[in-house]
Amino acid sequence: MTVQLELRNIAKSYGDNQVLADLDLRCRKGEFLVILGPSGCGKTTLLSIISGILSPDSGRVFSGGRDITSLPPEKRNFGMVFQSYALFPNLRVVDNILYGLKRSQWSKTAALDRALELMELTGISPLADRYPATLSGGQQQRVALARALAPKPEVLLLDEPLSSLDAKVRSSLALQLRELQRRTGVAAVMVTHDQGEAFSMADRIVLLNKGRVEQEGTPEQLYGKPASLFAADFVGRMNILSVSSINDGILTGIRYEDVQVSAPTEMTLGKPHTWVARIERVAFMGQFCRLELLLNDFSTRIFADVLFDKDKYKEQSLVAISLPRDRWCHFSGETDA
Amino acid sequence: MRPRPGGKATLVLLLPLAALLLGVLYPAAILLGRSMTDNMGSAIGLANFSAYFRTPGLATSLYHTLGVGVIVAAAVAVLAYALAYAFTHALVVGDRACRYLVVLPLSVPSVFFPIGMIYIFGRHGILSGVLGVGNIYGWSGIVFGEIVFIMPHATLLLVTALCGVDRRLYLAAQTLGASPWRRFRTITLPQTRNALLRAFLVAFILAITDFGVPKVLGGDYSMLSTELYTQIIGLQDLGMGSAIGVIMLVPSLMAFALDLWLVSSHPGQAQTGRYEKPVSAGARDLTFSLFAWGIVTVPTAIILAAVGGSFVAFWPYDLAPTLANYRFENSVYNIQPFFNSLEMSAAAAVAGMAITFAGAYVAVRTGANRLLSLLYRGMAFLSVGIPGTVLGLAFVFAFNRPENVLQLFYGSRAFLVFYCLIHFYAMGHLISAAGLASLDFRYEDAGKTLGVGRLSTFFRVILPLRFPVALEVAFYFFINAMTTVSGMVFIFSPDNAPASVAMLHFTDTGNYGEAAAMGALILAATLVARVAQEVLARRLRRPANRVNLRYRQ
Amino acid sequence: MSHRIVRLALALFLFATPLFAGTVLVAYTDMEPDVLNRYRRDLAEKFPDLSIKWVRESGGPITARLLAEKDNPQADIIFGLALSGVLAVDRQGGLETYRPEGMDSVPPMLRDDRDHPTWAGMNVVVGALAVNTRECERLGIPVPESWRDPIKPEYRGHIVMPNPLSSGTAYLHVTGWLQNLGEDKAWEFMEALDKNVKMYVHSGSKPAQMAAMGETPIGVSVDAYIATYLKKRTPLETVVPVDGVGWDIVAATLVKGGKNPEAARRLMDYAVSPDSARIGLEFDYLPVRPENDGPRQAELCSRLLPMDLRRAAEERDRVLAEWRRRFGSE
Repeated sequence: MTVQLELRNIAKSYGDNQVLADLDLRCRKGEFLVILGPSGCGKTTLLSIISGILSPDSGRVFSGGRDITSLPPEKRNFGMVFQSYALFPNLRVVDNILYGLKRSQWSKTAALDRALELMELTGISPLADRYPATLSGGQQQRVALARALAPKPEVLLLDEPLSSLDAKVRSSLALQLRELQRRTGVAAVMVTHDQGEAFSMADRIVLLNKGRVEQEGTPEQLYGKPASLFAADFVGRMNILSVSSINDGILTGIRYEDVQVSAPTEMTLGKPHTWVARIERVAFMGQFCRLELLLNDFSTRIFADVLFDKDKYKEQSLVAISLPRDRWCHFSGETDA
Repeated sequence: MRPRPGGKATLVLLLPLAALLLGVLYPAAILLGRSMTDNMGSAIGLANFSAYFRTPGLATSLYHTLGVGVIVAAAVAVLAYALAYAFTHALVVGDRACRYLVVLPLSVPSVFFPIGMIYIFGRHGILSGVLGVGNIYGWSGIVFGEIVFIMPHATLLLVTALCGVDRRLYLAAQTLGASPWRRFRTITLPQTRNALLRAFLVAFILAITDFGVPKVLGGDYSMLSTELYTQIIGLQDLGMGSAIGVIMLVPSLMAFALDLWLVSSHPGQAQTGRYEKPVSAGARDLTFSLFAWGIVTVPTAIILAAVGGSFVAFWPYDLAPTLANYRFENSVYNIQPFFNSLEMSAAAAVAGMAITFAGAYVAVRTGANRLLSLLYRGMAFLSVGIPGTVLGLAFVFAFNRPENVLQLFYGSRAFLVFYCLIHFYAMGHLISAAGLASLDFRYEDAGKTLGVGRLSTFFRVILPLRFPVALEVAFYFFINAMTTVSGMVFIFSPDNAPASVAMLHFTDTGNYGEAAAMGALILAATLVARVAQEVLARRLRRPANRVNLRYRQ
Repeated sequence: MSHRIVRLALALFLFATPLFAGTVLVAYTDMEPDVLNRYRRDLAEKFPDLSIKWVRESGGPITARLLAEKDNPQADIIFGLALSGVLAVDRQGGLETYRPEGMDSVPPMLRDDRDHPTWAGMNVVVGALAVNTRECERLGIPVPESWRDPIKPEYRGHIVMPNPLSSGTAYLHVTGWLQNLGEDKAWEFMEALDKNVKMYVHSGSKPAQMAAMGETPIGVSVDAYIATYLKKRTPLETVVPVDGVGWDIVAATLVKGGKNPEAARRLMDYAVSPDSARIGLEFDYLPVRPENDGPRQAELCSRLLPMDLRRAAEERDRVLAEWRRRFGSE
């Protein structure tokens, strides 16, 4: 597929504070790209640069092969959805959606048809004549989405679009959003700090840290093979070990759910990469429980997420834990800080 | 969240409520009665009013006043809106300094502007050689002077409103391809339309009731305020004077009612946005910087010219530098009025702060008797609807009566303080109430669960947290008491002639140098007060003072 | 806590009340400040035991104040106020009768000739034109000499006159014309003058001040106001039209219900004494007592139009209504 959006060598600083450093980014046509990172990693600045609200100190922005670095937002034809919805409070829902349909490009009837179509798609047709203040958060965000998509943008930008909604609305809207993006085939760039959201929606994730791309790839790649300690720590839960008895003391990571816990029989203990440990604590987490284990060197602590079994896992009991080799993660060039 | 009833707190409300009833309703009623009597005090029904409208020279003063009011209000609303827009939606070069200059005119009485205008635009004015000799007396002088005088009031109001426009809406519109003009038309304007209307009304009220500018520059262009003065002071026709006062009251009250309706029926359109500075944009910022500085140059130059004039022997013929004007030899009171004003304003500041703050606390944060606090709030608002000139006149009639025990109090300094208190009550209340309402309403409950009484919570938590607000109220009373002219001319007594009235007298006797000198002293005093307020507020500011908007009612 | 505040507030209010101001003689005046200061020096010398509180304002405000305080008089004496104002207060019964010593030597036209007089004249205020000679020169108009001059077309827009509706100064001019030219001729003259008047201002001193500051070449005023500016370095001249001018009397009178009648009477006697007249002369005033007149005073006297001030006061409402009808609708 061809590239829709491309950023080359983007840098941005505020005074002495470098927010983005020599950053490259690419989003293909129809792709759902998620920029993931903790607060302060520069993801909002990055989105502002893509949208044209901010201009980069250096580097170029291309859309469809066209250099748009110096174009203001209103000339870029990107749709944008905000965390706070940012609906025009003095306009009805339908007028909000019509707002971006320029007279010069859309006839009155075409514009209205387009607006109706999007209201249909987002499921807000019955709300057409309401004012934003009378809508729920989820409804408002649907209107914002319809508004952003109405002018057929080249790229849809989403700035933490779900984070001010409550959990239930959030997950259903996330699915709808993804479905809608697929159907319209628009390239989408979403910014979020929520890895669950990122994983459930993204075709590809760009993990951002301190203004640099930490890792880039599909959700599976990011989860399975975190390229750095930061990635490992930010995406999912991972034990980070540097113990002489494991992997010759090389810094090794293994996810909580990959730690296998079994009764300490001769057979189990005989397997490779298996150690004896004591269950220090059992924390009930719903579908699973989290075990805090003390390795037999009496200093290394390992966490394991296992299916809940009241009889099997008792505090202070001894167990065998095995760390399958194919689940090990290595972090080149990093030491355990 | 409704606070729980507090019976004893209601009692605290009774004192300010009584003061308001005594200071607003009672004098207004007496004035109304007086307007229906002849000069000897016998009832003649509406004869004064019909005489007013039948007498050609008199009735014109109403049309003049309304005309000037509309023109000034329109000009002020537009200019102040553009100025406020520049401060909030562009990066003005030297923003801080420029903002200070915008509010500088609030620090001097309105009579100060005509003096400076004569020095600059008069027949021998500094700029008359360049601009040609225009006629600054009459309509053009009044309109120009009032615009300069009223601009800061409207600008302050509009800056607040424009700050409240949600920045993200602009971003949303931008990504939807809206041009700057379309963004202004569809976002800025609709969201600040009420504030714009309110600015118009505020400017209108000030323009139709101000006395200082028309007094000096009016020439023979009759205005309601000068006509009122003429009837009372010149012709000693108290009945007709009262009738004119009532006539002046009508448009003010109408504008006031409209304003109240705007505020209550359209509560703050989407004042949700946190204000963020706009990103820089060369051409726009340059344009607005030039505009903003161009606008503030005018009042600043006028004030500077007047201050400069205070150091000159006799303008324009004897420009020898001198301090003689500051000896105030052409007045039997010498410099005393300045100290009178300082004393009176300080008293008004302390009393105004204490009363409005306590009143607002009880009305906003305790469950004081609903009806009573509603009445209190209503009265506090109403006080702003009565123009100073009318209030001053009404005070004379109401309190200088032998049958009134308060006559003892008439003419005393406390009486002037009382006048200032009533005249500026509304704003004092509004500032206090807004500050108090923005504090988490659960502090008192938290105090109660800890076994601490309301009074203790007030002194240990509320007051320390909102002390900057209280300071602001005090400063508001101080600066206004220092500069008010309109009502003062009727109620001061020779013992306590305030500086603003002394200025008016100096312009009357033609001693412009001394008038300017008195104005310069007032300016200095208010600037010192401003600095003191800011320094104090900054020292007291703690992280906890960040406004918590979530519990706004 | 709150009790203490209430008590403190009460105490503040009470102490601030003039009730406790002590026995000080309160005198109201509209004399020019420099003249008043001269009087104060003289009084301090001659009456060291008297402590006087002076209230100085323009004639209008002083009169308004006296009328407003009629039921609760604050003043003991009016020491120098235009007679028009004095008569207004007198009509409402606000004045005490008193015949000060030596009053009989004053010409009858210049004193209260009733059996029980309420007021006594101090000096005469003479109507005059304040002329800025440099402005006249610049505009190429001659300095006017008689009333025939300012109605000439070359003076159009160059004259500032007080409005009789609010200014006693203007009314004394109007009275002078009305009582001497005859009603019809007088109004005719005022119509002609009106064509040249740039604007009518609120007070009688304002035209003098505007002429002094060069804001107008000619202002209609009175000698006392103009005199204030003659000391400054301004090209101002007093012109008393040769064909006669209106005038008013600066009078002293006791206020009915004053709290210190004894002391007030002593001050009354002083007001009409030769000592007082001498101070007037220092300022080129025209004292009502003819004893010390110099040549200037004699000349001024010769230009005073015959006038009946009481009649003028009685006719005031009618005249002003007529004036308003003719000129007041702008």
